[in-house]
Amino acid sequence: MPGHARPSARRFLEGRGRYVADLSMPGMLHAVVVRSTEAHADISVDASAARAVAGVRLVLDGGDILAAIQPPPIIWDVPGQRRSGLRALAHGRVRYVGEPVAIVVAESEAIARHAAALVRIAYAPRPVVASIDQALAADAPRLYDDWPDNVVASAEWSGGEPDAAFADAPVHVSGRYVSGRVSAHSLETRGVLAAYDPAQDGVTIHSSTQGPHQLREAIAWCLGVAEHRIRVIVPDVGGAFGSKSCPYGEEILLAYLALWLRAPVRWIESRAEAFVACAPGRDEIVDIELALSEDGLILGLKALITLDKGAEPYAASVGAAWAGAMMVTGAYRIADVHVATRVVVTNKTPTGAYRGYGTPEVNFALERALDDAARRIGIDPAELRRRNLVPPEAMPAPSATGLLLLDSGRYEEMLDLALDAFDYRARVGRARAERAEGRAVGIGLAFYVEPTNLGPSALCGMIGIASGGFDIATIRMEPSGQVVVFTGQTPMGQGVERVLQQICAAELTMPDEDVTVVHGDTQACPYTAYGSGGSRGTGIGGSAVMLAASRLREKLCAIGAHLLGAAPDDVELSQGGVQVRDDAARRVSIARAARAAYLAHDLPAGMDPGLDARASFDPATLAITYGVALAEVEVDRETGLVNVRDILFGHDCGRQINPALVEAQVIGGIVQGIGATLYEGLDHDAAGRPVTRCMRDYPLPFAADVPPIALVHLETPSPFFPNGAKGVGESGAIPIPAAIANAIRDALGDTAGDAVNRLPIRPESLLPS
Amino acid sequence: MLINCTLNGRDTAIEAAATTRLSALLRETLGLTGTHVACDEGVCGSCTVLLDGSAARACLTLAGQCDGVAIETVEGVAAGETFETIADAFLRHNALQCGFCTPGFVTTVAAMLRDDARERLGDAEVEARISSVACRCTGYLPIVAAVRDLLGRDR
Repeated sequence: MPGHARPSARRFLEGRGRYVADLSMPGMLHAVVVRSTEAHADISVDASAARAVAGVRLVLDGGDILAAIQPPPIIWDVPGQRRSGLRALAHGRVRYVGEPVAIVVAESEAIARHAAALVRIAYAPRPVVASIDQALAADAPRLYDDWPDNVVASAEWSGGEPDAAFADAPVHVSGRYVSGRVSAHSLETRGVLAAYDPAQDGVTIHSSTQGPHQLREAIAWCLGVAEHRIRVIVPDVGGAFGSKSCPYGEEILLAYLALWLRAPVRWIESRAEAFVACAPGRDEIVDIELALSEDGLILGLKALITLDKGAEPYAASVGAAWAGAMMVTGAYRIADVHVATRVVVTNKTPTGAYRGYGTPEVNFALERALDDAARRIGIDPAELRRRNLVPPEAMPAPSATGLLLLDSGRYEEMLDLALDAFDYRARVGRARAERAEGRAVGIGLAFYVEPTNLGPSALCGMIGIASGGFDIATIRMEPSGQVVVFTGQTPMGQGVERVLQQICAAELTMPDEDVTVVHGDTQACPYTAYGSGGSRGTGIGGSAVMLAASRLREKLCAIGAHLLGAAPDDVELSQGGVQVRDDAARRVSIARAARAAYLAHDLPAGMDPGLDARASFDPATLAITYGVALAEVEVDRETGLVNVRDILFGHDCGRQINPALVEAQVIGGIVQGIGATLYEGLDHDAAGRPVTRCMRDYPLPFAADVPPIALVHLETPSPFFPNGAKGVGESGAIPIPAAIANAIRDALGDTAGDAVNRLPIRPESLLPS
Repeated sequence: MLINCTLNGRDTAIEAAATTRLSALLRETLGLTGTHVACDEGVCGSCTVLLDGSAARACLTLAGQCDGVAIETVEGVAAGETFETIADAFLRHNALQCGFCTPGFVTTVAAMLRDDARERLGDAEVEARISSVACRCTGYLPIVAAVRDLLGRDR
C-alpha cells in the first residue's frame, strides 16, 4: 500500500494483533505470583491452605526452588559489582514491595487468584532503606548482610586536569538534579506462556520481550537446560521502551513450571503488579559542577551520578549510571572532566532500562546547569551552547574521559535550524513582554546527544556487558523469487520489521511486498547479540540485512550472467532483473534466476545450489544521534499548572530509511518526556511502600495533554554504518525534561527555586511557599 | 444467567455469571481477543466497545448489564462499513505503533462517526473523546490528525 509507513500494521486496527494474553493452549494452566507487601522483612511462608484448594496444581515458594533455579546472570557486570544472589522467588527475606514470594499454578486464573490469596506470609519487619540518602548514611541498615554497605558498585573517570581548570575558572555553577522514578508503562503488561515441548523434551516460551536470545540464555543458565531445548517465541509486543529488554524471574519460573508440570502454563501480569514488579527507570541524582570562562566557554566539568538501583542489581540496570558517565559531557568540547558513579540499593523495586537509559538523567543535569551558567554570565542560553558545541571538522571527537566518541554531526547547523524554525529571538522577546504584563511565560532549550547502534562487541567487552554488540541476518530467496528475511530484532511498534523489509527490497531492487520478515523465534532466527534496545535495530540489524542482501545479489548476478552467457562483471541487478549493463535486451528476471538456483540443472561451475545468504554486522563505533528541543511554557501562578504551549524538536539520526517511522519515534519519545517532566512519578511512603499502584494514580499524558509539536531535521549519514543510519528510538525522551524545566525557570525567574531541578515538576512545587 | 444480546450483529445467548466483566467474557468465553485489557479499572480505554452504539469500557461493564444490548467489538467494527475509511486514515497518518491500544481508538472513532460527528460534535468534544483512550507509543498527534481527517476538519 503506497503512502503507508507500515502497511502490515493494518491487522492491529482489525483487532487481529496477537499478544501473549491472546494465546492459549489445550490444557493450559494459569499462574499467579504472590508478592511481598512489605519493603523489608524476614518472612516465613505457609502455603498449605493454598495447596488444598481444588484445582490448584502446584504452589512453589523460595525454598522449593533453591536447588532448581539459579540466580539470573548479570548482563552489565561492572568491575567490583556486588551480587545479590537473589533467585526468582524470595527465600527467608524480602527486600521490596512486589518481590515474588510464591507462585500458584491452577486450572483457572480465578482458582489461582483465590489460592494466591490464601498463601500466608508472616513478616518480621526490618528497618527500611527508602532513599539514596538513607542508603548511604553511615548507620544505614544493610540490605545484604555480606556487603560492607549498600553500594553495588562505583567508579570514576578523569580527563585533562579538572582540579586545575576549576581553580583557574572565573565562573562556577553547580547543582543537584533529580530524575524521579518512572514507569515505562507499556500498555501491554508483561506476559509469558510456557509450554512443555515433548518432541525436544524442552520448553517453548512465548514472552513479550525485546531480547529473545538473551531470554533463552538466561533460562538455560538458571535452569541448567541446554539452549537447543529452549525455544523463545515473541508474539506481538504491546510496547516495551526498555522495560522488557532484560530477562525477568517470572520468565524463568514459567519455563521451570512448564518443564516440571509438562504442561502449558500462562502468567499475565496485572496492571497493579506491573507498578511494583516491572522494572521502572531513572531514579537518579546527578550532582554537577561547571567551570566557565567569562565569555561562556566550558572549562571544566565535574559530575557525580548516583543511581537508586532498588533492591538488587538486577540485569543491566547498573549500566544506566555508566551510560550516564559516558554521555554527561554531551555535545560540547570540555577539556577537563571528572565523572564519578555510584549505584546503591534501597528497599524498592529494582530499576531497569527505560527509554534513554542514563542519558536523559545526565542531559537534565547538564542542560539545566548550562542555563544557570548563561544567566550567571549574562548571555543568551542558545549562544552559550553554540560557543561550546563540537564542530564537524573535529569529528570523530573523543570526550576528555575517552568514554564517548562523537562520530559525526552538524551541531551548530542544527541549533540554527531549530532556532530559526522556532522563531527563537522573537519568542524570547514576546515572552519577556508577557512577563512584564505579569504572565509567567518562558522559553527553554536543551541540546542532546543520544548513544545509538549499540554497539561494538569489543566495546561491550571492555565495559563489562556480558554479550556482543553485533547482529546476524539471513536471507532466503524462494524458488519463485520472493524473499524471506530472518532477524533477531523484535518489532514492538517501532516498525523495525518494515525498515528491514525496505532495506532488503532496495538492495535487491524488488517491490517491498515481495519481502517478508521473520522475527521473534530463536529456533528460526539468527542470533542477535543484544536484542532490540539501545536504538540499534536499523543501524545494526539493518546493516546486517543490507550486507546479506548484497551477498544474495552477487549470487543472483552470477547466475543471471551464466544464463545470459555474459561475464559476471558485465551484469547488474536492476528493477527486479539481471541484465547486461547498457543492454536491456539481454535480461533475465529475478524469478528466473532464482528458479535456476533451485533447479541446479545448469549453474556456474562450483556454485552451490539454492539461494540464501548470511551476514553479520559488528559496528566500529556507536553512532551518536543528536538534536535540540525548544519549549515555550506558561505557568498558571494560581494553580502551578504548566501549559506547554509549543515544542520544536530538531534531530539528526543520519540517513532516514523510513522518515515517517523516524518522526513517529521522535514524537512518541517527546510525549513520554513530557510525562516524565510534568506528570509521572512512582512515589513511596516513608516505609518504602509504593503509593502509586494503579493507572489512576499514574497520570500518563492523554491526547489533550499534548502541545503542538514541530519537527525539523538534518540527515548526516554516519560514516561508520553501511546504511548510514543512526538510531532514533530514545531521542525524544532525552532533552524534553531540561527544555521544559528551563522554560519554567525562565517563566518564573528566581521564584522557581529548586523546583525545576527535580522531576517530575508538579504544580504544587511551583506555588509560592 | 442467560444473557440475550446482539454481538457484532448476531443475536446471541451467552451463559455467564452476571458479575463477569464484559472484557473477560469477550476475551475468554467468546474468543474475541481484539478487546484488550491494559488497566482493568476504566482508565486506559483499550477495552472500549460499543454498547447500543455508544463507546463504553468493557472492563467496567458487567455481563448482567448486557441483556438486551447490542454489543459491538473491534472485530465487529472491522467488518462494518466505516472501517475502511478508519483504517485508511490511521495507516496514512501512521497513527499506531504497538497496536495494543488501537482497538480502543477504532471503536471510539467508529462511535463518533456514527454520531454524525462531522456536524454535531464540537472540537472540544472530539478532543475529549480522543482523550478517553491512552496510547504510550504515538504521542497522539498522528491519532488526532487521523481523526480530524476522518471528520473532515483541518487542524
